[in-house]
Amino acid sequence: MKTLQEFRRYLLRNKLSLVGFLLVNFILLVAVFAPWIAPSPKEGRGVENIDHIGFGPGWHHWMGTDILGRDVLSRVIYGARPALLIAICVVLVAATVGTILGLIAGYMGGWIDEVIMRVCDLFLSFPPLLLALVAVSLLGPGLTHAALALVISWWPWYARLVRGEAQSLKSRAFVEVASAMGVSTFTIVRRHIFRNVTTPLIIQAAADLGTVILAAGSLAFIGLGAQPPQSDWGLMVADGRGLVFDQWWVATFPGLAIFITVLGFNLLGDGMRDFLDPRSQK
Amino acid sequence: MKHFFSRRASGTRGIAIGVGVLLIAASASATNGAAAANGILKVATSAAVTTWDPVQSFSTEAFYMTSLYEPLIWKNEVGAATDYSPALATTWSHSKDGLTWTFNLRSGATFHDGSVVNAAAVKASLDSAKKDGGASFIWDPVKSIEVVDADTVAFHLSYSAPLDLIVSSSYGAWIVNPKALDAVAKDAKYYESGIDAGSGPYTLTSYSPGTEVVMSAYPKYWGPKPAYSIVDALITSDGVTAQQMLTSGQVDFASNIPLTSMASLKSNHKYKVNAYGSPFNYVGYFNTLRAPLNNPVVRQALSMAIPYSDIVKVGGQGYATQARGPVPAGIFPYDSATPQYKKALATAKTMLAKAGVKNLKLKITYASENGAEARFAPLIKSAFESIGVSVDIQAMLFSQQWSLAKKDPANAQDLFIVYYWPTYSDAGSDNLYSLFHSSAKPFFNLSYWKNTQYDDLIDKAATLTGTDRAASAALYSQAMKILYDQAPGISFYDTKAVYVVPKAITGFTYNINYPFSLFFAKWSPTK
Repeated sequence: MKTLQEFRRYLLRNKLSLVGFLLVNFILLVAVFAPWIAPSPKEGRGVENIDHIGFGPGWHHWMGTDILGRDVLSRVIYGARPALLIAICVVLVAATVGTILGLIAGYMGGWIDEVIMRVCDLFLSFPPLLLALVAVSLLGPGLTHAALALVISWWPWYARLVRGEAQSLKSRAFVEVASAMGVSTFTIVRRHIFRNVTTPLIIQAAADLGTVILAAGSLAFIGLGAQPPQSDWGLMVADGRGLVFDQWWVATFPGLAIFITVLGFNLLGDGMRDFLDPRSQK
Repeated sequence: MKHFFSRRASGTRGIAIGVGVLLIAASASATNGAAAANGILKVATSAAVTTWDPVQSFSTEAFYMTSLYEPLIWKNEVGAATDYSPALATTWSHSKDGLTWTFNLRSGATFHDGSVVNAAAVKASLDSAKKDGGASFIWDPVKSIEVVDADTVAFHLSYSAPLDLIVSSSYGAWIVNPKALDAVAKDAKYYESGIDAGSGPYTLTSYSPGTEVVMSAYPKYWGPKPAYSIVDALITSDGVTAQQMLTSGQVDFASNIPLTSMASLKSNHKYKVNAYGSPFNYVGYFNTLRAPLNNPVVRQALSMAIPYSDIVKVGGQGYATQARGPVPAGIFPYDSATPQYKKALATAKTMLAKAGVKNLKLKITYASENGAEARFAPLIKSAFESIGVSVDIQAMLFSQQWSLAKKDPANAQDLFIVYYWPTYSDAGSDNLYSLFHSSAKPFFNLSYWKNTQYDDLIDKAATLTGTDRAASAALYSQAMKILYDQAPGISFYDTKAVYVVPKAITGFTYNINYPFSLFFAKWSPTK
């Protein structure tokens, strides 16, 4: 595994990766310190301010106000929280489930591998967003259900990735020697297989964070994700869509927040792939 | 008296994020003045077609039905010199007891296949509507229809009812070619490809499901020839897209522009923004079977927590007024003396405390496809939370929240927000009956409220509407006072029908009695 110092040196050499790293950290800080940096934390949490409806961007409201008179900047700042939370939770849970099943399938082989992989194929035969849409339609709208729906559509990608790696590692000499020496299956999988699949896992997870934010935003946009009055970027874009001719700022700023965050995660994900996987370096 | 509906709510949200928003903003250029030339009127509308069968029709296809079909008489818009206008009947009268109504038919009216509209066709159409129609319940008072002669038809009623209102209903009162009635009896899919069997100023010439409806002027129409020989309706469910089509000149008129866009269009010299009284209003049902909402004091307290003026401002965007009960302004039996709740948070809090209510948690649902409800529902949550009532608010498709409410009151929502309108212009026999009269099984009476005094008043008032309108209205007013006192529901606001009318079009009218319809035959290009 490479060291943090090597990563720091890599970032300094690769400006785009550095931009991604800075953007992601900026969004993380905004999410953590939202109650302290939002101009109006109450409005950020969804409390309306009817007297301020229809204010355009200006000195008092840098990003204007929304349909309920709430400060858009405060809502954008608070919106970073569910965006990051859902992305991290979905990727973490999907990666955990996928890794466990992928390791079992890849190392055990036989009918277990067949069953797990056919189930994966079943899930992968649907576009991820469509599958999530069906799942959340059945579960009912809400941030938790949206997260669960995204986990359902995301885990097979991890299972397939890990299964492929595990299958190739299984036949490597150091695994066969460990097996011949009587090391238990659990230990072989944990020490020799899992440790060697972490690099592709991290690369995949980093790349997925941005995609999950986009997918969660899409679900909220069509009313199936976060629910009002929660500050959620997708929901805010949906709320502002009908106003796009009159009050452009209501949809534009949360849309930009999605754009910047996804861009940050994508640049960082690309950078991490290049850093951790020397074969892909240009 | 049965009041069964199979419609409600329309409109959907499109899917497009980030890039979509930018694209919409970027393409909002205006090059107006599309296709009004050559006698073609291009219209963007959200009105989808659930059926072309005029007997079954009970949904958004009403938008086209008023151009393709005619009733016996039309109910006029508010402020007209007379209450009704002749359509296929030129004169009509009723007996003193209101139990027999006679209609004399117009000579020279023909169906679109050239066959004559006569009394037999009227009887066949309305017998069919009473037996199989989507709005069959409106014909409940009618015992039999008699063909007196080729041009005269008589209705015999089992109890007095306002038959003039019923025969001019926007659903279930169209006169249909008997050949089509026979054909659909043999083949239920007769209308599926998109055909009509009416006598209206337009005939249906082309239909692409979910995409386009084309209607052409009927050359043998008995009335004035329409100025537009073709009406080409492009079905566009999304209001923002419809607005864009109008401002970019792709269509001459758009019927579904969002209220939130009116401000900018108002200042555009090419359009006039007209607001009309409408039969639409927003009502909330309390679940009166669940404690503590079974206590009228708790319901009154919650009604006092509602920020009505904020809801009117946010939901109605300036095109609404706080409702006085569930009867919309302008529709019988609206009573401007019906009391209204006012926001009084301190009183509400005290009343809840006196009723012994602590840690109350409520589940509120609203229709996710209804933009106004999505805008104002969060205000109800905030208001309730400010008096110590925690709220779980859920957006659901109307069909989902309706089935949740109908299934099992014990597991249903505590407050169900609904957008409602009467089938024909009698909100006594519809809104007051359907929403709050007791019934064995919940259908639209989703507060599950039972009050015998209220039921008696409503039942008695309905039988007087045809003969003694004033006495009927007085009874309905008493019933609405009971609704105010007992608060089984919340009356939020009456909304206006708002249309952006291009100055290039003359003759636009809105008729509150046909709220989903536009009368294209009366339109012409501005000279």
